[in-house]
Amino acid sequence: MNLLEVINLSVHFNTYQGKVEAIDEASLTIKKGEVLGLVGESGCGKTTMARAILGVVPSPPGKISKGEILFQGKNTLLMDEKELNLSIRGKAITLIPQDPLGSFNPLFMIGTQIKDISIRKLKGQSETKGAENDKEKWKQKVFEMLNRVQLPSPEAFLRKYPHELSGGQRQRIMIAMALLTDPLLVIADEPTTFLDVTVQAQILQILKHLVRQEQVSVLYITHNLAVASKISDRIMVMYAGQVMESAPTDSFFANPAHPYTKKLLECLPSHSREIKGIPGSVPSLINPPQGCRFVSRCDRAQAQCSQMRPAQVEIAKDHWICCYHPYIKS
Amino acid sequence: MADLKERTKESDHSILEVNNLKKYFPIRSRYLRRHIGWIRAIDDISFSVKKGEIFGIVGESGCGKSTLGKTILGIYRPTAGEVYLNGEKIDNLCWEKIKTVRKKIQYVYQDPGTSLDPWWRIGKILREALVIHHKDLGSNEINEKVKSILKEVGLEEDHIYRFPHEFSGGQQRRLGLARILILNPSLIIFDEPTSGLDVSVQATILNFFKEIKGIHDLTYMFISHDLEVIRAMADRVMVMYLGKIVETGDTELVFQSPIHPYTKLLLSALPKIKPKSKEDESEKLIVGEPPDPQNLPSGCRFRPRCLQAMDVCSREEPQIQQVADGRYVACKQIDNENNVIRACTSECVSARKRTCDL
Repeated sequence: MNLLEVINLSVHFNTYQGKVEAIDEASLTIKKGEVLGLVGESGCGKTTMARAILGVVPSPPGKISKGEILFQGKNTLLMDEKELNLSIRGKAITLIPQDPLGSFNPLFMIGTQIKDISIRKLKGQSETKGAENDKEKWKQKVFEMLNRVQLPSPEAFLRKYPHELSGGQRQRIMIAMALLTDPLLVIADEPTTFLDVTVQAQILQILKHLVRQEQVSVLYITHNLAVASKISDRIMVMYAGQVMESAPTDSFFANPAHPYTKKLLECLPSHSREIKGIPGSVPSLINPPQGCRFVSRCDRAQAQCSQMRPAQVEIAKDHWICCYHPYIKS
Repeated sequence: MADLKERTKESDHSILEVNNLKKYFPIRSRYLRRHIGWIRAIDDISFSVKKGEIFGIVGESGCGKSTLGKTILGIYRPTAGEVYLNGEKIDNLCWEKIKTVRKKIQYVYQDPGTSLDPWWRIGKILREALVIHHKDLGSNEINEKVKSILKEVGLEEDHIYRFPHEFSGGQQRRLGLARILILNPSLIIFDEPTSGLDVSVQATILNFFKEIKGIHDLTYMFISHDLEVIRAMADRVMVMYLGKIVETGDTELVFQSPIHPYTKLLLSALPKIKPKSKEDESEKLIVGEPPDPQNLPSGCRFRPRCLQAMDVCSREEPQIQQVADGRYVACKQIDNENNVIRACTSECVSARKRTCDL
């Protein structure tokens, strides 16, 4: 069974300028223990997707107008706040934020902030087990987890304030905190954007290792295709709120079929000295084009593309795309 | 060091020469503000930039890349050392003379979103440079110049009435460059020119920078922590670690056959797209983070993270030496064939083991 299934989700925001259609009928599935890399440029709806899954789309102005989010078969959109807080947010689904410094409270020590989670966790468990007994176990678990994210001597770290740590250390503590409650799904929202390449490599290694050990599923949001290729089992590309292509990592990089994906891969300045960009810009999400939203920048576009949105088709095993004129090797 | 100096003197067409530049920041005690030590942000750096080339500087955050750029420009006074622009000494100048130098060297700041004044319209922002540096120009001439520069960077004339926040990230970079081009500089220092941009926009902006360079016959200094960008843009590259040069040379050579262990580490940390099945599990593991610049390790600054560190590394600081034509490396362990001597001490074996266990 799929752990998470998002079916035809549409999210829009009401602004003074008009209705911003941030996500347009996007679907995704995450299996148990799978790492899904969600890739796209800024403003394509990656973070809105994460927020919708956690049920924290600010409303108003945001509104989920269509679709279902099935987590373990239950529709989270139909749950009330209390149920979400008790069983989903920070419990079954946790978040590793983009900016760890902004996510910690600067006035409290790291240890206090980790303890906050423990209070939450114990609250849920106290109905079944003795709470006192759990406290020691919990402390043990915190130390163990900090060791596993390669922070030696955890006692010293617990007594430090967030600003005393380096960016890499902060992000490691965030990862530890996200995994403490034994979640089923971790949403990592660009966790390495603010880090140096060497620290990024360390963080990716740690995350990959822990994910494999704990068998948690991860929704890894990033704009960096190379990072996505390193960590994820499947990659999904979004553009202006629509899903363009979704495929297992190998198949994705071996035969990218969607024109947007192909262009995005050409943008990477890795091999040749000649860098290609994508001409044009992302369409405004207020009154977006009717059909495929990439139509204005696509060189394969035809009349059909701007009239009707292409349906999702499977071109190879588990390789789905939304395009009328994909690149397919014949 | 003697080699480097000779080289800079030989090449007549070098536009910028930096000799033994140092910039130390004082550390002061908490309450009495007594001077208790130095942070050596730039420590004895020498290099030269040839006319018309793109010179790249890479390194992790905190290695002194931006400080170097600002010291060259004279925003920070150097502690020691000399900076020459076209053979003219430009460090430690008086205020009036600095102004003339700043017409020729310009600095593009990291984040144009915050470096453009949010309360000023674009017209005023672009006019400001001319008002300061070209007092002889009339307001009509200034307006003409502003409009033509906007067209040149791919924006429209009536954008002068807009505010900076009304532009996208890519357009803001173009504006950042426009207000600099208006002065006809000969050397432009870019500080992290593409951080925070999407890849598709990044590619267009980099191409745009290259195009402008061709038209105006400019020289660029690219400061970035993004190795891919440097590889795509720079002709020569300088790798810095904690205020020191560790390796310089032609970009392709440095990227294809890195010599210094730190350069190797940086390159191995770069995420590459490769099929999952081919991925080897025994990937090189990366050790540690840069040490606290307040108390640097003895000898080589990279020693605590270096897997090939030997006893000699903790005793002596390595001097930069020429290993090939135009290729300089600062490492104690280079033999005659330019290979790093592989010496695995018990210490580094245990360090490697520790990271493998995770």
